[in-house]
Amino acid sequence: MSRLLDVENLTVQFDTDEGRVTAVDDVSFSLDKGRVLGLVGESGSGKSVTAKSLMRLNAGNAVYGDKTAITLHLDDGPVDVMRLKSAKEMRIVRGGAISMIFQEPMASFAPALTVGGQMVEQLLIHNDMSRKRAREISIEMLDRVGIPDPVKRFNQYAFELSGGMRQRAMIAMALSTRPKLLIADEPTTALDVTIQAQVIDLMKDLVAEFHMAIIFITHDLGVIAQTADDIAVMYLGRLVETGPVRDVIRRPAHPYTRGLLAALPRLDDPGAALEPIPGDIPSPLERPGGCVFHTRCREIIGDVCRGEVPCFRLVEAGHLAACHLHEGECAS
Amino acid sequence: MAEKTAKIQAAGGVDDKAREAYFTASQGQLIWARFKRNKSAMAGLIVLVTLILAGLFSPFLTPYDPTAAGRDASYQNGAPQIPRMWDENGFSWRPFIYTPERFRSIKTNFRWVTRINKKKRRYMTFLPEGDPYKLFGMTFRTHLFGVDKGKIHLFGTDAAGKDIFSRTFHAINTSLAVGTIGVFLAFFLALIIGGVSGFYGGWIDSALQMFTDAIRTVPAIPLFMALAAFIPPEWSAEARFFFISTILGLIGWPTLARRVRTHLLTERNQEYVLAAKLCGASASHIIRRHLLPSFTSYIIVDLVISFPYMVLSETALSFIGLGLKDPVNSLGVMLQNVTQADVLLNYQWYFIPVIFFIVLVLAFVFVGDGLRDAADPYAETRK
Amino acid sequence: MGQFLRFAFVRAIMAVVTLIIVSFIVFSLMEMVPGDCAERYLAFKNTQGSGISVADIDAERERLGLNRPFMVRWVSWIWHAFQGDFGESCILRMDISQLLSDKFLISLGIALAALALAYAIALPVGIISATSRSPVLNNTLRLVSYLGLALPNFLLALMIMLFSTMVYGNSLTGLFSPQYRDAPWSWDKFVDFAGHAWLPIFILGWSATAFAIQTVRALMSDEIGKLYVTAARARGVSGWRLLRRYPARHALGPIINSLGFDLNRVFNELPVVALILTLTEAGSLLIEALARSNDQQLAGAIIFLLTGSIVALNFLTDILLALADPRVRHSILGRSA
Repeated sequence: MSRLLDVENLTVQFDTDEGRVTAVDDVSFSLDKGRVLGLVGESGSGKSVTAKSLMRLNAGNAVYGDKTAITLHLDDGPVDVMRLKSAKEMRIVRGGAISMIFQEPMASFAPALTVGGQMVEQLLIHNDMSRKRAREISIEMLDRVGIPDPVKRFNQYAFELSGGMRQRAMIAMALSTRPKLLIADEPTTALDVTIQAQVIDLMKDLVAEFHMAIIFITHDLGVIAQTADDIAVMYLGRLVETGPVRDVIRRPAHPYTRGLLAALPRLDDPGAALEPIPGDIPSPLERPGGCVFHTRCREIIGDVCRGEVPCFRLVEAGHLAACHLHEGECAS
Repeated sequence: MAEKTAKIQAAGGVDDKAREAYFTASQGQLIWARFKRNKSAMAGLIVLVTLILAGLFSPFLTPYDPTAAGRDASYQNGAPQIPRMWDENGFSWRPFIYTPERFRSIKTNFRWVTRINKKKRRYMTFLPEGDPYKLFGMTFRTHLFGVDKGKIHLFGTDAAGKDIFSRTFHAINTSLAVGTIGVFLAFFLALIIGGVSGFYGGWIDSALQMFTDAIRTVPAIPLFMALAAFIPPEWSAEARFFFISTILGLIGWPTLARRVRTHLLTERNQEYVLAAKLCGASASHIIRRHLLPSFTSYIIVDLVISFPYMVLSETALSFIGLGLKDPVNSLGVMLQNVTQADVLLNYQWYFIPVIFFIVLVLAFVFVGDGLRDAADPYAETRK
Repeated sequence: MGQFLRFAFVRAIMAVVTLIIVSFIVFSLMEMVPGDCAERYLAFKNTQGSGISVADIDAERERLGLNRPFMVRWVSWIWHAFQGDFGESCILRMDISQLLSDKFLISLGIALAALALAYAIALPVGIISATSRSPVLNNTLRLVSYLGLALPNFLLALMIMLFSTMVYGNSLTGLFSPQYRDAPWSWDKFVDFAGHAWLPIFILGWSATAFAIQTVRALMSDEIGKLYVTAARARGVSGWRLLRRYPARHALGPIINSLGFDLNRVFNELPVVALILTLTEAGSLLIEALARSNDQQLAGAIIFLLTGSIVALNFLTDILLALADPRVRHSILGRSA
């Protein structure tokens, strides 16, 4: 089957000194093999927490909702991520079937261990192979991602590589175990534009070659437009709009998405004033009731927005938005 | 919590006054607000202030002169006398103690022995006139409490008959005074040396750093022992006092200087300094208005935290006999006779000042820790 | 490898320079004290009945070489000091190295043992407490570290003395039982020594442990929060291996760095504890030398030895740190080829 991942009713809360904070509220989505999903939203929208939940990587004080179910469909059969208990069991999702790359490549490598050492370690955790073989595979991967002189780099430390090379090395490390899903948490944000383009091209090639799915987390709509097949927009822990990327960008159905697109500077009119979304994102300690965006919405209808949580309604084929502006049946 | 809600423009109206108070609060006010929330730090602060005040007003609070002038020759090595209000002879509104009587007879082999006479009560008096003392330059005679006949010794007496209660509180004052002078001297030196080192960088910094590191390597107490042994015994008690404080300050500055220097080195390359320079600000202006406020909070925390070390060092030195001596009274001086087997076996009340000492140091530590947490703006996110 | 040797060499030079600066400071301080060795010795002889004259003092000064200029004397002193020759004690008229060597080694041994004990406890406790969320554990540790700070070693020693006297009727003093005191070293003597030495080691280790626990815990907490640990978890590394290779390995650096100053602290506390427990090693000898006889030569030699061991330890830890942490090597030596 082509379905890789089913996320149902994902709710994540954190127990902090100030009380229980909701970071992700009833998020559901699916992902097919080989597809790229762009997860978009401002800082604080819950995108990272969502992604980390797939690997149970959230901090110790995270509390998952009762109805939360995350199912990973692997060749051996489905894996219920929420049911995994020990660290050994979680190895399936951590670094095995799912790999993650992070925003800060410098910060993701352990400073005092060689790049090669960390790559080999990951391979040996997930595979039964000899150290020699693991080394071979790692050097192959370094070469595949376009790093010149891979043997030398294998023996070096992260601080000895340039920014772009580090990011590639991180991708190489993440892919060496042939994961089915790659989670990329803002991988291009810290890079300058030319390197960004290279990395994105690399990722697209790898998707084609490995038939791997990617969840691409970013706040940069431009990157999403180039790389993703589908897009999911999050605001303050809730999904507000999902659909094929072209459709959502050309015909945004949710006021928040519309606001995000309108806020982008325009190439064809450089002198025009910027149009930000009014207001600031509320604190997660004080999430608005009803539609979570109503406090900043320019197209607010009235009390229904303040009081009732909108469900997902079909705007066009495959394109859903959670907004009271649209009529129709709630999609299940 | 009030700060957090004041921080965000949430849709449901928030108290505007609170928001404004938050945004216009000075650094000191913010630190104080955070400090207040820390219960153990507040408890430490209360204890600390109490002890400091007790030390400052010790001549009034304690009944007798702590030096030999105020000693009770008839009650040497005497056990603590706890005032009571009720015994088998009846109740009394005024607290009283028993009369110790010394006598000797053939039965005691003609040695002086102290016996408690329960029939003869001595009643406590309040605000009596007693030994004169100087406070803030003026002479007073009134003490907080006393007893109608003879003397009252709440913590007992030592071998010469000096009241341990009085000595303890005077000692707190002395130890704190020595510590204060030492801390400020260290601070002053650290600011200059660390400041020059950090602000100018380059070879000045390297040279000063080698010098600072060399001093830091030398273990302070042995060095101080070497120096203190050479103080001529003719020096007056006050001279010794200032000498000790100075030495403590001279030993304490390297660590603080290093902190100042590290901080300055990072800060002077920050963009806001560059911006100020581009506006034409002079070096001293930059230092005063930009750099100094950025680490005032760290400095204050360091000062508070280094206090206990000063007090501990002085106590250790006086205890060995190389610091302060009689008649100047500090906790270390009071502990000088404590190791004798005699004392250990029979006169355990000599250890009572130790409790005060521990409480004082703990209070400093709690307050210092609380200050450090309160002054660090990232402390909450660091959890 | 070549880089590393260069690094070691540079560090060695710096250590020697530090020691030279320290010796200069110490020597100058000794000089500032009124009266010199000659006067003092002869004053001492005077109290024993033999009369002295100014000529005697001058002759003595000449003999001891005390009339040479300051710099010459300093260079001569330090030159000999590096060879282990500290000259003669002013008052005792004995060769200082002989006087000190045994006692100094004992002091050093006790100090290092106390440090080893402290870290043997602090490393596992600190690491575990950094990862644990249990409030009980955290609060207990806070209390322990505060107590360690507030109850300084000499007070602890006093309380132990008080306790042992009240309960057992004798105090646990001295380093050797009488029969071993002046005997040459043997296995039995060592056992006897260990039987007595555990107490000073324990007392000295007390506050060192409290301090070390706090340090280890804070460093580990910092490291655990860093991204590379999360990234490692995301790769499937877990359990003890995760702790060991990632946060612990990187937190080790600052800990190794601080060992020299830990030793400094222990040396600060040793004299007083030694006095309380009446131990006859360099610590209490230091007190006698300094407090009672005003012996400059002896004092200078002792301080030089103490500082020297700290500088040596700092050098060793620098080397160790460079071995453990490639960033240190890199920053000292610049980019590798």
